[in-house]
Amino acid sequence: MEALTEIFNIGAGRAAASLSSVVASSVKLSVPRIELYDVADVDIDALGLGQARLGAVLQSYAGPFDAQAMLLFPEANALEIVRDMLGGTMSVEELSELEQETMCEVGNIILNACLSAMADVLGVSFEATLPSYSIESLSTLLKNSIDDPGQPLMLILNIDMIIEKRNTQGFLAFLLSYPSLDMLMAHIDRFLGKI
Amino acid sequence: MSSVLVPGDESTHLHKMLPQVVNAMSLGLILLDAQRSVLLWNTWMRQRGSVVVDDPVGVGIASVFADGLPNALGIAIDNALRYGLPSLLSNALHGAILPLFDYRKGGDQPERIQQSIHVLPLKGEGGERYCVVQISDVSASVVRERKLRAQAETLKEQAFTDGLTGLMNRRHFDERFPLEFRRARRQQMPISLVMLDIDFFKAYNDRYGHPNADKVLITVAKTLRATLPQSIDVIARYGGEEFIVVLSACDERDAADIGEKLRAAIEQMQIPHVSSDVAPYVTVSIGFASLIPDVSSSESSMLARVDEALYIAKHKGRNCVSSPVRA
Repeated sequence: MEALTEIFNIGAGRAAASLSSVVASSVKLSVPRIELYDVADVDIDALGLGQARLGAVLQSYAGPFDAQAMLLFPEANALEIVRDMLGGTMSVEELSELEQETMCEVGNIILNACLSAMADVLGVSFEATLPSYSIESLSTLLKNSIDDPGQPLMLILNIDMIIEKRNTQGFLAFLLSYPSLDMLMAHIDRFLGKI
Repeated sequence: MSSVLVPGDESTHLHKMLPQVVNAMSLGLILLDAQRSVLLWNTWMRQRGSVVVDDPVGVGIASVFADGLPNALGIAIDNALRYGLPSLLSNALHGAILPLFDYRKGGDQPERIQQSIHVLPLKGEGGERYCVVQISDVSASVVRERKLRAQAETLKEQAFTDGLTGLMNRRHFDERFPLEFRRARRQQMPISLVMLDIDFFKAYNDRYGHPNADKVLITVAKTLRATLPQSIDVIARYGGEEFIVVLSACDERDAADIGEKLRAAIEQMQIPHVSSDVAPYVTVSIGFASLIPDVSSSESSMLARVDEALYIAKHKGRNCVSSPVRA
């Protein structure tokens, strides 16, 4: 797990550099905590995100292990991010086409940075779909994923995002296909063996 | 690609048709090889791109445009070629990132196209990487969204502003006062309300007519605005000839001072009002109430107290300032 935290922090560093140049202000990202769940045991309430609707950027990855990545932002946080970047005054439901596209880009930058860090550190490569944006309640988002018997493991990353003086929090959830956790761990073991 | 279609002749057919398809598309397509050299630059791009080479095909993408390759696009291309990861560059964050112009618009100074860009990784038969950059013209959406947003803001402002005086309307006050009240409670700071009523306004209306009465309301509103400190922003038309002001971080003594200043300022306007029983010109009666809110105090009871203070001021003979009676 420590190795994974390390990998994702490398990714967070890359994402922060890309985001900073895109929004022309200092963005800091860190991944303080990673948790691994069996999706059957995921207690939606325990994640502390409530039943509120969330802005979610979704991307699917295929490679040595398949993953569905969701970057989740609670309504207030998603809004703050877009507002900081664009200065809009809309609610999440009202996010315009162009603002949704911006959320997708932010999610895409973070997800790609994490995946490219993983690719570099573990020496693997992935194929991925373009990001899509949706607004759902967390329970709906997770239920859709949990119902997929092919992906019974969920890796949840807590991400702290600081845009200048604002502090926002997001969650990155990776749903991993079943035999792949072993593979992931095997790759990590190999990585650990090297250092 | 050919696996999509039926085998045989049709597939060769498809092969021949593909360049036409690519050139007929109403979006920009650029295909790059792993060395970032341009393999394809479709007609849409040729019609709009401002490039510094005769033919971009065969040239490194970094040398095609006068200003080189924008950094964000470079990172996206790198993600596609090195890691096989797709990216998108949103219009809101990148705008008209590449020098693409709509030569039909703007005459001598053509408009730069608002873009939305997707960068997609592709794999060749031998596993070598390619990358396709797909550029959409979103100029129309950008204009539409800008218009809609401007309209939304105008409507919102109209919904919260009193059309005649330009002050806040009652609805806006009802929304703002609780916020100010709760802030005072949180910070344990005094908050004051000042309520004003134009004396014998009905009589003025009857004597001088509606248009002139409207002018009085406008003048009183302007005078209030000009007399109050700039920092005071909650001034509302509360009813027909009633106005209300929220004074944050202002105790009873300051509220009494401000009330008196407002009263004097209106009096000094010397607007003729022969039907008034108090003075031959327009005057106002003013009530004020102050407190440091605690758990037991409510916005509605504070409003009731300032209303009571105004009633006392009227009872005392009008054109004066009063606090509510002590409980």
